[in-house]
Amino acid sequence: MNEEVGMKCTGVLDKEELRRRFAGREALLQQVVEIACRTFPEMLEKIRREMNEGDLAAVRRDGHTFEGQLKTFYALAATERLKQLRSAVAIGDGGEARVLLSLLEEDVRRLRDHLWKLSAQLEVRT
Amino acid sequence: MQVLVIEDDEITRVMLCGLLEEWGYQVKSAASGAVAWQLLQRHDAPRLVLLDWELPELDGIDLCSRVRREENGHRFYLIMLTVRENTRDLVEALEAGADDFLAKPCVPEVLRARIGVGERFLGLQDELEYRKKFEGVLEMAGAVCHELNQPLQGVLSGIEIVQSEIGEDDPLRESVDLVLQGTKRMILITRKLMHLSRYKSIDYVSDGCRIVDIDASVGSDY
Repeated sequence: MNEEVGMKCTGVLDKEELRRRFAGREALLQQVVEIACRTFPEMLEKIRREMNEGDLAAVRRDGHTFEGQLKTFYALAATERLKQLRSAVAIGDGGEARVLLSLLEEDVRRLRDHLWKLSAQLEVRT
Repeated sequence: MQVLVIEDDEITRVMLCGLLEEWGYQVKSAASGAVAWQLLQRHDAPRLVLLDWELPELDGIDLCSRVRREENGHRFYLIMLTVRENTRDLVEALEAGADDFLAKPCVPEVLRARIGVGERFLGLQDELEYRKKFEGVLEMAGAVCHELNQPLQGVLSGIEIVQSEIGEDDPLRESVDLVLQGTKRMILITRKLMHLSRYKSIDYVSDGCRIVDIDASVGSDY
């Protein structure tokens, strides 16, 4: 199944793969990019709040959803970081999880910057 | 054809709906298992369903089990979507009642092909149901004909006796001849129907309705 996901690259965002998968569907890509830019900070805030409240079940659930969203954009770095965070949460290592969450926030900030640029390029074309 | 997308993640939901609409499907969507269950209970519910594993209120596995437990002849084709990738998860989804399993993020070409499989499956299912229903109707027709045959033979004998008793110039002669002809025709039809093994159908007068063509069906040369 991993070969379908096709995340062989490293880095913030595999634009080439994203463009290939959305070939001819720029309007749809722009729509999902805009949703991502709007909802990613909300999701991170939610996960941080759940961690502070010690609600690990909620962190696992939202972490799972967030991983699916990141994979949609072939965001390898953030996806890997989130997997590490979920593992830390699974073994109950709160200190490690907090560090990883801060790093994830940084990864997602960079990802959003790339997505905004991509959105601007798509807007020019469509 | 209608497709129901059950996905709480807005990004995936918008993407799936966009792709399906592009391919010509009529799309309905639900963001929770509970809302989806309400939709699936309607008589006009979409029968092709894409559902996420992790859903609020009622998750994908529970939804699959519930659909299978209560579908009662209204067959659904369920494709489970998930970021889970191991064999145990795949088996769990299939055992819960999913027909297929697709890893997220979905590759459009793969999704389209899998949806096509679902459409073919449902088409064959409909054809099978139609044939079963038709065979049931034919069996019933055969049984009714069997029951009618004996009284018709009695009517035929009676009419033949009456015909032989009255003269050619009798005012009732024409009516007796008509009854005799009609009875013979009814006996022929009932015998043909009782021996049908494969049928052919033809358009009936009303819109889209088809009926069995008794004379052209296999076994009708009885």
